[in-house]
Amino acid sequence: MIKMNMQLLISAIVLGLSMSGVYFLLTVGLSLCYGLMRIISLDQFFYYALGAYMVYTITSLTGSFWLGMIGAMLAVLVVAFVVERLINKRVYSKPVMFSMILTFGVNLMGVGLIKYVWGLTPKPVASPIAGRVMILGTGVPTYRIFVIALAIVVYFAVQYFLNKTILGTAIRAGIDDAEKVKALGINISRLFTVTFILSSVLSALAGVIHAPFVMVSPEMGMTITAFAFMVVIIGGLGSIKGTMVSALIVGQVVSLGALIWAPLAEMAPFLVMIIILLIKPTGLYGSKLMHR
Amino acid sequence: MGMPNIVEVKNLNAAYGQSKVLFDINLHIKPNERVAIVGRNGAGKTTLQKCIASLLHPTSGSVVYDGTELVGKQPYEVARMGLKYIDQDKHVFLDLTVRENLELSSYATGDYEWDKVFEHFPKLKILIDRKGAYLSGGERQMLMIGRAILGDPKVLLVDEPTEGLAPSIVDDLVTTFHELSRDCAIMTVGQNLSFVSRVAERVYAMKEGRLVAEITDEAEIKNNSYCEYL
Repeated sequence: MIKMNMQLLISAIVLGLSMSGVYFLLTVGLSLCYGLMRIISLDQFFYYALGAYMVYTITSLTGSFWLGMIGAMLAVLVVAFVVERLINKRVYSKPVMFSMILTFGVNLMGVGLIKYVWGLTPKPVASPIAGRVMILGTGVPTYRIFVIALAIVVYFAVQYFLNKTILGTAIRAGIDDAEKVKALGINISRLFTVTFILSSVLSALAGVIHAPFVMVSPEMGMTITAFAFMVVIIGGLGSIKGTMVSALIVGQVVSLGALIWAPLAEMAPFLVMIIILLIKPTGLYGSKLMHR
Repeated sequence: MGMPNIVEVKNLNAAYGQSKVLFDINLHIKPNERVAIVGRNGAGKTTLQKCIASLLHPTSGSVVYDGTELVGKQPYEVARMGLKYIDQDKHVFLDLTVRENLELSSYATGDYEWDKVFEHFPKLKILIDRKGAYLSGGERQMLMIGRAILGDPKVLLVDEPTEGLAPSIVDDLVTTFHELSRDCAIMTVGQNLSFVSRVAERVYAMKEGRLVAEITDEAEIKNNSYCEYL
């Protein structure tokens, strides 16, 4: 009985960590977009779903999930560039509510487009890595370990980009004060574009790696929205480290909550969020909210 | 025939929404000149500098810098052309080190010759790995000017440079401004009349959004006799 419970616990922890990986990839973009451009980019959920559909299509056509992963990220890169240049850039200097309404509209249009192109029937994507890894006598799917590892690699890559490259330094400076960045002679508009595309490609990657866990459906972006916002709010808007820590918390709370009592999986994260916000209203790593 | 002006402002008007704040401003700056704009709080000094730097868009009028019209240009374009604005709030990027702050300016201008920065502000070399958040007000001012002189600007617009600084640092700043003006023109705005009298070669007095006097006489500047206009 104890052995059985131990196996369930290990499975739940690994499941939680892999969900944390998906949450992190999806929310790091939301966090970056708010930090630099002060927009709530709800269209990230469209790029997440589009990533999943693109990996489904390319995998079906070529038989290679990995080719699908690259193709999905490239496709979203192009779509995000067009959306940013034609639509989103118009609301950067406006109050945050404008960006919420506009990007929600883009998200709805995107979901409509997905329904038009792929139909309403959910699509399956096979796991690209078969087999199991034994952890303390419990077999866990190797693909879940891959997702966890990928999220860790992306976390360090994003940190490296932000802290060790000049473009990343400019983005950090812009998060601090965009006006001063302009006065130095830096084209902030280009920084916004780079940040938005990076965010969107990471959202697409989240959709790609999540696809083998779920049936790919047009509403998949809507389904994950509440959890994604919980991660961003608990971690603190604009903080990458906060997003990672928060994704770990939410992933485990969902997974272990389900193990204790199924409805807890949905309820417990909200409870955690309320408790954290009561103690620290700006989230775990959030700084004071600023108006621009 | 005198030297051509490096900056020429003509009939400049600006407003925040319905509230007009600058009225028909006409002024000029000559190359390597040290000019000061003095006036009470709310006179429009900062707005004027921000309009010149394209950080605010005037409602009408013209700002010509080195023969090029600046109205309508982006602030980063103006900065790259060699007209730099230094804000009054002593805000350096708090999460960035001194090195990263300088790197950003070098990235923007393509000028990686930091020796000229350390020549004026040797202390910055010692503080190179310190984050902006841990610098004193004087050190932040040094860093802001240091960042600005990368790219060899022809004009520096410095807003309230002495605000919140200790008298000894203000003295250093006087020397620095005299040294810097060998390579570029400086327009400073402020209310520290002692500083203005030691730095400026020409003074514009500003009141309620209008330029009310131009003082060129050295003795008048030294004696702060323009106070009557404020």
